[in-house]
Amino acid sequence: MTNPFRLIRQFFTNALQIEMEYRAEFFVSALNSMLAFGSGFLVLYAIFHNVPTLGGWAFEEGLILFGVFLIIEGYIAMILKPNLSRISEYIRLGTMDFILLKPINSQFFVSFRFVNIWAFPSLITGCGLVIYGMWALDVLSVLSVARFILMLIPALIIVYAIWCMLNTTAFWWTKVENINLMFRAFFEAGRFPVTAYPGWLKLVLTVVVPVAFMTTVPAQAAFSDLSLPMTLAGWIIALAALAISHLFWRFALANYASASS
Amino acid sequence: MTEAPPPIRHSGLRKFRALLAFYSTEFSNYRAEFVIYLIGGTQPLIMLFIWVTLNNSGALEGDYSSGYFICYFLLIYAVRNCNAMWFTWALDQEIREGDLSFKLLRPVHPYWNYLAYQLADNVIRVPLMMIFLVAGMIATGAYTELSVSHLPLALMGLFGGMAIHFYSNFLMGTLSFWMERTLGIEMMYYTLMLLLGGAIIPIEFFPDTVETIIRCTPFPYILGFPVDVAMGNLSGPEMLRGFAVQLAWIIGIGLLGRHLWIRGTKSYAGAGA
Repeated sequence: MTNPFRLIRQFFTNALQIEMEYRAEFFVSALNSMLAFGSGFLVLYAIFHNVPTLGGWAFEEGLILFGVFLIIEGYIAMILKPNLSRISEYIRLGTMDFILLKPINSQFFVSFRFVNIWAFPSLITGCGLVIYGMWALDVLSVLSVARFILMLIPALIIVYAIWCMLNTTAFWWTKVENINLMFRAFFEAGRFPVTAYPGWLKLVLTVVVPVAFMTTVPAQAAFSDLSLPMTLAGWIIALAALAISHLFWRFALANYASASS
Repeated sequence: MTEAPPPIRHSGLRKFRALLAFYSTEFSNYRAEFVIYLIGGTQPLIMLFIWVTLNNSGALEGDYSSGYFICYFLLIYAVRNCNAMWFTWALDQEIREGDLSFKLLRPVHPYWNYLAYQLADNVIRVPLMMIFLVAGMIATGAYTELSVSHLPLALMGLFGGMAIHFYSNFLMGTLSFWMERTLGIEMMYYTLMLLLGGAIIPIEFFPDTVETIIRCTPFPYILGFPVDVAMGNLSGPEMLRGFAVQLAWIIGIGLLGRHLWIRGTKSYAGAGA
């Protein structure tokens, strides 16, 4: 297989050329992330206007969490959505066959071929919020940023794996546009710390749909010490999810009777 | 004896009924999708648990019962399901790919097409959703929070909200005459509807000045307003003002959409035609 990093660079330059045709999209996207930030902030502010803590979290801690939420939203809009939601199109139009013939890992290709660069305002706002929250809590240091990144990476992997699996169901159902709504429904819960939910729901959001590891844990890593079990749990779940998504992809391909033949 | 063939009458209503029947059949092909929608719409239920937990912790000022939040978010769930259909993307696609040209040739304005599209979706979805709503209300006893005498008014508010949602979709769709990819705008609308519409935090919990501003935007009138009416949370004058603002938005968004549609179709050179 060709060097994946060189491929990613190739994909990125090419996607950049395509996206330059939609420059107006930048303004929509910038406005979009400003509104997402503004309204999300307003909701957070309003909640803390009524209560001093939410699930034991203070306002600034909630801001960091909201920052993580925005980073992940930006990551979905920038990389996951432009790529993975195309799977169903590849199958319907028969282009999947060409992808399978390419001398590279097909899961890799369908996952990282495109980049929607216009989604970056969300990423920047998210990062800004995390940094601001850490500064306001007086915990901003190289070490805490490193801790944060250490837990953000498994979060990104988990989100990828779930998106990939949801869209792989297109091999059977073809029309899957709405399945991403299901992810959305659970991910919305990640706006708030899992400790704010009643016990059974906390368990569901940690173990069944690991929303806890997508937003709560990385945010916590930014402002407090990480326990070793938590760190390990995050990474184990992330790697397991990645492995399962790959197995599921292979399983889907094995059952795939091409559309064009 | 020869009888003259009965005159073929294409009354508007009959055309609309035909469209409605068509889309109902089409949607019933996607039953699995409705299950997904019903799960996808559960986000208000997640908020239900947050607010009940917050309330139980005693941190919340004011005297609210758990039933209040259960009833509120169950109703939000129901209202959201009545406003779950989106056709902006369909309009967007038709305009860009030129399919609109064929629709323009038909003897019925495309507008009725989209209305039928949205209503047919509700014909299938609402009964399903009602099962959940009624079961949830009875199981938790939250129905006692409802103000029965206000229900007819609440229903009126619900229909008003659906009209705003419909015209907003139409308006956003017509923007495709001038813009590439209107989906970003649709996302914006969606976010604002959820966050400012009362799906995450009841509007009365916003700080006062913020609340006043939000009540001037169209978003609360889609979700939160009919729910507040149904629970009797609003005084007479507040309700009156609410209905007035709602009506103003329906007319405003509707007229703007109509205006853009007329301007757009005038200069439209259907790409695929």
